[in-house]
Amino acid sequence: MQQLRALLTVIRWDVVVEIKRRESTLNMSLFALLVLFIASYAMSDSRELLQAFGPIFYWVAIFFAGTVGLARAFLVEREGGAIHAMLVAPMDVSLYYIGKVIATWIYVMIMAGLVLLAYIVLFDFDDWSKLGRILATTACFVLVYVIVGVLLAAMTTSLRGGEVILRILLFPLMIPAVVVVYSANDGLFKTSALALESPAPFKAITVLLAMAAVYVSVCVVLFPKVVEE
Amino acid sequence: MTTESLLSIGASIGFVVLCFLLHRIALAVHLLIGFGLVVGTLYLVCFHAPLEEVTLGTSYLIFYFHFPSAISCLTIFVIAGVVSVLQLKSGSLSHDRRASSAVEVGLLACTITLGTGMIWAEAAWGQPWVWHDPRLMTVAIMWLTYVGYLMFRAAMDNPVKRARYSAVLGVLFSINVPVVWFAIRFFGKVSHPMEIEFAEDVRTIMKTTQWFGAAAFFILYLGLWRLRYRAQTIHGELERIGETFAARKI
Repeated sequence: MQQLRALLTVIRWDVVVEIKRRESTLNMSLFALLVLFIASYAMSDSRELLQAFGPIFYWVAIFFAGTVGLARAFLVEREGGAIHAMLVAPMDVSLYYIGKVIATWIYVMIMAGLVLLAYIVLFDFDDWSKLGRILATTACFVLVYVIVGVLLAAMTTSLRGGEVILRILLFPLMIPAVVVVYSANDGLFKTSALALESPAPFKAITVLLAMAAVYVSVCVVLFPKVVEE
Repeated sequence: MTTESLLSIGASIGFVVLCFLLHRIALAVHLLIGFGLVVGTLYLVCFHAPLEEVTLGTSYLIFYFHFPSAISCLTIFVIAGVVSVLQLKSGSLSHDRRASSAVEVGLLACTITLGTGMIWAEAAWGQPWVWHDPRLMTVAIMWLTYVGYLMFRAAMDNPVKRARYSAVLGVLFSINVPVVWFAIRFFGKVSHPMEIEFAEDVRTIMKTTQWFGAAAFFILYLGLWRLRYRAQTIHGELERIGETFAARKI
């Protein structure tokens, strides 16, 4: 119970800091919206192009913008030396990692929600019955992304050129997850009766959850080694 | 259990024992044995291995270099993962050097695997790269992750932190190895062969050449690993001496 309370404190602290600074979510969202704006403008002449390539840009926007937030995940702790306080606090360091993952997942999901809204407007998406499955797939994708990203961010924050190194380390690891969500694109975004019955999104969610389970079990063990002084 | 599988198990155990024994002999001798065995593989490929006439023709001969590098790179990355775990447990810098040299040699083997694979693919499929092949894609991902590992190391100055973080990456990235190994089984056989089917009369010589090549390349890569480890140790010592001199302002 005490550990659960500590976990909730980490999440609340992180969310409060984010609400006060408004750096990560704002930067990520602006970056992602710019990607969608440019893509939508480039393909504005053809509705077919918008429908064919729109989903790809939806994932690309989340994928690239997410690193902007991840790179700042440990910035406050490192700058203020709060990470040392976290290490001596009466709580399991792995819980601190889980709390950080949940908090980061929350604000990356806020960005993803805004991206989805922009996608609906800019890419002329009107199949409302699919919103639920798009959100569920996005949530699972962001979960895998954040589980690996938070661990790598903890290592690269204090590094010179850390943001670039974070991307170099994170992107190859995320390619399988990107392949999984791309394979579900037809079932998620295409407007046809066949697409609505496609099992691909559910398969994608299952695979993403399995990936999340593997990564979280490894990262929880490795995280204490990353933050120890 | 058939005689063939019993022989395979016996040969595998013998090979592991041989690898341990090789670590006890001088590095130069080890490397010479490795080069000699690779030349032996070349001889077997040129003069003994029969051609596969039906579909692949002479192009398949590159398989005897592609497969050994592939199997060696996977094994060496597993070794790097295991040594990384040991580093995390002990905090030893020598384990860090072992792991990073293993990654360097594994990356070399992985690059050769990708290169020979692309040459073979050009001949067999008419194009060097296809995106729908799960093994090709997973090996490319593995290559990219380990390039990232080396770039990460280059960006870190503090040797103790570098050792610990690299070990974390070494463990995390070794998840790729089973993914590469089971890629075809998970995603279904697309275009990458699980193994090449040969007629019964030439099967034995094919298999012998294949596994002789694998053993030869693995022994050579082990020698290169030792060489890189020694080079890194000397480099570390020189750095330490330089720092001592700088501290004393000599």
